[in-house]
Amino acid sequence: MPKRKKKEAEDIGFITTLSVPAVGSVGMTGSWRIFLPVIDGERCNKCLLCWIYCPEACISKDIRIDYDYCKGCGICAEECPRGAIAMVKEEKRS
Amino acid sequence: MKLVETGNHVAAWGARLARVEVVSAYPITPQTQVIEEISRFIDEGEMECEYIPVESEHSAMAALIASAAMGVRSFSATSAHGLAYMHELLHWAAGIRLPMVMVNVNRALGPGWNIWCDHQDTLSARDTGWIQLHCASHQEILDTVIQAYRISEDPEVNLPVMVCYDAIFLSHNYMQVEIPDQEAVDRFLPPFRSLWRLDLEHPLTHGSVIYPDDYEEVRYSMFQGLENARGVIRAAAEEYREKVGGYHGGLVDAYRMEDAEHALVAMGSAASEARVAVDMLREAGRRFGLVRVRSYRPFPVEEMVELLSPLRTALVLDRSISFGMEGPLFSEVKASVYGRGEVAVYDIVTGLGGRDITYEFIAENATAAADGRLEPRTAWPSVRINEHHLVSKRGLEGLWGRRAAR
Amino acid sequence: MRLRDFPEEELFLQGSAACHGCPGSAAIRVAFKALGRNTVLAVIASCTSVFQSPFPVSALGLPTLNMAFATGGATASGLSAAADRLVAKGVLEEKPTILVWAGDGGTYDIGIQALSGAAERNTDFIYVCYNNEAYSNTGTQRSGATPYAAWTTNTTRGKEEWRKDVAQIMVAHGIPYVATASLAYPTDMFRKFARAKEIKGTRYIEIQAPCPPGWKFPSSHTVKVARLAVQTGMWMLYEHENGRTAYTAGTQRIIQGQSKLLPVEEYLQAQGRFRHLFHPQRDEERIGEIQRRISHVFETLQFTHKMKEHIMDIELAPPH
Repeated sequence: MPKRKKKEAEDIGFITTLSVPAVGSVGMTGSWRIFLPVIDGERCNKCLLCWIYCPEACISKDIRIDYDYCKGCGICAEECPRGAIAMVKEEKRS
Repeated sequence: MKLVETGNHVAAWGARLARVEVVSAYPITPQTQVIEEISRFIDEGEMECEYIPVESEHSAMAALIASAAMGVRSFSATSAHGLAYMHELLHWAAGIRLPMVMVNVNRALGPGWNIWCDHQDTLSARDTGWIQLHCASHQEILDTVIQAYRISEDPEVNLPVMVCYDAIFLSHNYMQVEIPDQEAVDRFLPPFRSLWRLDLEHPLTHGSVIYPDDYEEVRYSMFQGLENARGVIRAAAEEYREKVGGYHGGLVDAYRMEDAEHALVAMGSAASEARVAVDMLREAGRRFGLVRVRSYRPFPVEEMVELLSPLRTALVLDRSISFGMEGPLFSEVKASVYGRGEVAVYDIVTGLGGRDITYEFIAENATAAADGRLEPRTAWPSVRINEHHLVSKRGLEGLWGRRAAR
Repeated sequence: MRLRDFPEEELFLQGSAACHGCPGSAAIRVAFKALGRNTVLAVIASCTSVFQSPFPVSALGLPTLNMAFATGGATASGLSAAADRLVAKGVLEEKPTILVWAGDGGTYDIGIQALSGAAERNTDFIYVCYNNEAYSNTGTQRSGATPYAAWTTNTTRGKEEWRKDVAQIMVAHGIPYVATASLAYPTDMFRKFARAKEIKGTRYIEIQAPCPPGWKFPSSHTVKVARLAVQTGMWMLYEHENGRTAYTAGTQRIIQGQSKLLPVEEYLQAQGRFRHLFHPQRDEERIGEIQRRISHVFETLQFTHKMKEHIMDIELAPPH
């Protein structure tokens, strides 16, 4: 074992497979998106179906979409009983 | 308090004195008495402990990992096929860095059902990251189970410990043991500690997917834990002698090695037989000594160099075989002394499946090694082909002969 | 419970490694909301091992132990026994809910022994099987939960065997609570988790989890396919407690005649994994066999329901 590595290990000590809960655990998953859900606030009656169906917890209870992490799966638009969510082509972000 | 007990019941006493709180085990001969005795302790209110009667050894180890992860001192016992069946989770227990203790009663693996002594089971579990301690007497089983928790829970180590002892010879024979006072054990062994546990206030995730960028460091840390265990094992033995009483050696137990020219190297109950052989050889004027390996993992490399390098010969007694190579203990003794001195290392594989190893037999082979009459590779001196073996050979010849004729 | 009464707190954190439209993460959100923070989670090798995200961060907001494939029931036994000790010693004020989260491979196949053992011991925990009807994590191979005729990467002409029914196997264990759930009926699912939380002993909840890449449908259709499964009778919603089975939500409505059982084709045609039943030509035999089995079950249940109503009428009639 090279000396350098031993010294480092002494400094590090105990290493195990321990993970810390975090938002964005694989980064800004909004970049995975091809289509963007857009809510028409006038049609929305806050039935909360989109909120509970979102697999990524990206719609808040007051029906705002977290575009940083929304992957654009489209479930919210598909399931909205009032057709208040449209999926529009994601514009290239610079 | 003095008791005359089986090795298995003594192991149960060890768990009881260590104040184990969760036991998860599946019955297997010759380990069953361990869990029977623990069940009795619990039923009679002598142990405050949850016993999980799992449906397999794989589940025994899974439950043990889970209870240790919740932050509770945990114990299991198994043997041979049971150890093999939980092999996946042996890796998991060590890999996720949890302290726990399990006894393994060393027994042969099938086929050919054989419940007698053999080291193939634990030596096949060598590279799982568990510390492996081998005992040679009932008193040592008791003291080692208690010390094992001290070692396992040491922050420098935080790894599981397997306490091994030989089937029948130790598991089922009765011997007298001194049961220490609970207060003395409590002074030696602090309440359960671990570097991590599942904590509702700090909800962390353990054992998730890990990429090549980080995996190697986790394994390196395990390696370091085993390295640290060398010092911790020695210190635990010393501290135990001081606070509880009784000493069986650190990583090795050396006997009459001070002025030895030749050594025997053995593990488990065969070492007790080798001790008698050493005395016999000494009486005959040959300067023999014995090195009994107590800690198989971590392997006592420094001790081997110190004790064996100055000698002329060493004969290793292997009670298992690494097929396609040689006796595993032989490999490791050679590796330890490689490039350190002129000692010629010899090996006999013997005592498999509970076959008796007599001190006369050991002395005879030790003399042959010392006199250069053994080949410098694994020998099988106790193999004797008899009429039954030839029957199966002839049967096969007959079968193949008929097929060829058709 | 209405949706607006569901807790707002998210214990599954956004920005995870889950696929688009993942049914597993959708289900885990509802489960976490119903069970709350005083829960210890064991994740058995499955897609959840992956979608929780890799070391050193995690999308799971509960103390979590990832465990090997075959260990679900046994892990729960260890966690539960240790938690009992911690409560006995006063380290914990209240015993946390022990939640095991496993897929159908870890439940139907490799893990059934440990699950059965834990159920027989009536270990105090909730076992969840989120059933995506294949080994989706390893690229969609068949499991014991894969339905008849479904394509997987190792049943390329459609599975020849019928799926087994682990929920019914759990009923046969005599455990205190067994329920099935669907992503499309979140209030039903939430209520079942809330009910399970109140009970001591082994509780089993199985959630059908339509997997977009594995079942070959667009990611936006996860909930739609889950709903069709219930509406066509391919997935039945019920709970079993105290020796009685009560059908719930969409399944209950069909049995009671409030909604019609839709033809199973509507479900099959919504997914690419059954495409070979329709292209290049219709496979009347296999479609017919699937429909016959479903119809038989529902006709029996509908008949029993009517009979019960009839008997109830007689019982409730005043004596002369």
